[in-house]
Amino acid sequence: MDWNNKMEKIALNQILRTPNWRWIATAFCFFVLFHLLLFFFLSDFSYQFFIFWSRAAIIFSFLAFISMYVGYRARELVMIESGIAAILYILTLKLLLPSYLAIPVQLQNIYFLIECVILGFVFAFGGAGIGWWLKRKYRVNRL
Amino acid sequence: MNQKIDLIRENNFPREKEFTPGFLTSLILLTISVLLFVVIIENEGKGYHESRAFAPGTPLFTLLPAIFVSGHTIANGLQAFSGKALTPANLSTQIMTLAGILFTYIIIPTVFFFNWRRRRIEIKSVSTINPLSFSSVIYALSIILTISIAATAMKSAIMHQSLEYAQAIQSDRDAIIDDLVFIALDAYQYKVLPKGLDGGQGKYLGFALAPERAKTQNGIYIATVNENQVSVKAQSLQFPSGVIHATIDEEGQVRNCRFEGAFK
Repeated sequence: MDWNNKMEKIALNQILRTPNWRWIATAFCFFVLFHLLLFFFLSDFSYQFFIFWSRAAIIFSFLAFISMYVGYRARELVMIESGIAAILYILTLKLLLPSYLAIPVQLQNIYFLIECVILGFVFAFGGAGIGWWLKRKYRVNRL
Repeated sequence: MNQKIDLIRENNFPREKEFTPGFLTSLILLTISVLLFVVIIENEGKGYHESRAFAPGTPLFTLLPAIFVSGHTIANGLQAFSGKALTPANLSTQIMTLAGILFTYIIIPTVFFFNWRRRRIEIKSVSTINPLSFSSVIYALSIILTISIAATAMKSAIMHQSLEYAQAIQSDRDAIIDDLVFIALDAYQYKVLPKGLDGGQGKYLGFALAPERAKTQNGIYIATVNENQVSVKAQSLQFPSGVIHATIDEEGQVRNCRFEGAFK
C-alpha cells in the first residue's frame, strides 16, 4: 500500500470515528466568537443574515473560513465536528436570535431552516477538510 | 522531517493535550457571556427602536459609536424640522454609547497591542503549533475587531472627505450663481438706463463688467454682449475645472446655465 492510500485510509478512519466533543465545543465557540460577535458589531451587515443570498454567501464563506482554522489546528480530522458545530450554531441563532435568520416572507418555512442547516454543515465540513489538507501540506514541525 | 513518524505521533497523542488547561472552560464561559450579551442587547434594542425614531437595525451597542451618535443627531434634526421638541438621549443610551466608545477605541486596541508586544517578546522563532490557549483566542478576537474598527473608521473617513468635497463644490457653485445674478442685475440696469445716464437705451450693447464683478473671490467672469442678451462664462477659482456658461436674457434673468467640469 503506497503512502497516498495510507493517507486516504487514515482520513476515512478519522471521519468515521466517534466525534471529539472537545472540538465540537471549540468550533461552536469559535463560530459564536468570531462569526456572530463580529457580524453583530458590524451591525449593518449582521442584521438579518440571510436577507439577500449574496450576503448569505459571505456569511457561509466566513463560517467555512473559521472551520478551516479549526481543521488546521486540530490534530485529527475534525470535519464532522465542525459540521455538527455549524448545525448547532445555526439552530442557536434560530432559537435565540430569530431576527438574524430573517428572510423574505415567501421563504419563511421549515425548508429554509433545513437548507440553512445543510449549507452550514457543508461549508463547515468542507472548510475543516481544507484546513486539515493545508496543515498536511504546510505544517513542518508538528508536536 | 519524516511524515510517517509525524502521523504516528499525532494519532497517538492524547486529545487533551491539544488545549491548554482550562481552555475549554474559559472558552465556553466566554461564549455563554457573548451569547447572553448579544441576545440582551438585541432584545433591548427592539424596545428602543419602537420608542424612538431610529432606523431599524441600529443597535443599542455598537462598535461604531460615531455612526450611532450621527443617527441620533439626524433623528433630532428631523424632529426639530417637524416642529417637535428635541428629546435628549436618555441615560441608558448615553451609558451604552460611552461604553461603545471605550470598548471600541480603547479596550480592544489596547488588548491587541499588549498581546502583540507580549507575543513578539515571548515567541522568537518557533515554527511548532502550540496547544490552543485562551489568550490566543482573545488575541485573535482583538485582531479581528481592531481590523474591523480600523476598516470601518477608514471607510467613514473617506466618505466624510468625499462628502466635504462635494459640499465645497456645491457651495462654490452656489456662490458663482449668486455672482451671476448680480452681474445680471448690473446688465439689466445698464439696459434700461438712457444713454444720458451711461445706459444702453434698451439694449445690452456697450455693457462691460465692472472690475469688482469681473473677478470676485469665487471666480473669474467673461461677458460677451449682444443686442438682446449677454453670455457669461464663469470659471471657479477654487475648482478651476468648474465652469458655468449662462445667458442673461432680455428681462435680465439668468437662463440656460450649463455646468462643466467639477460643477457637472
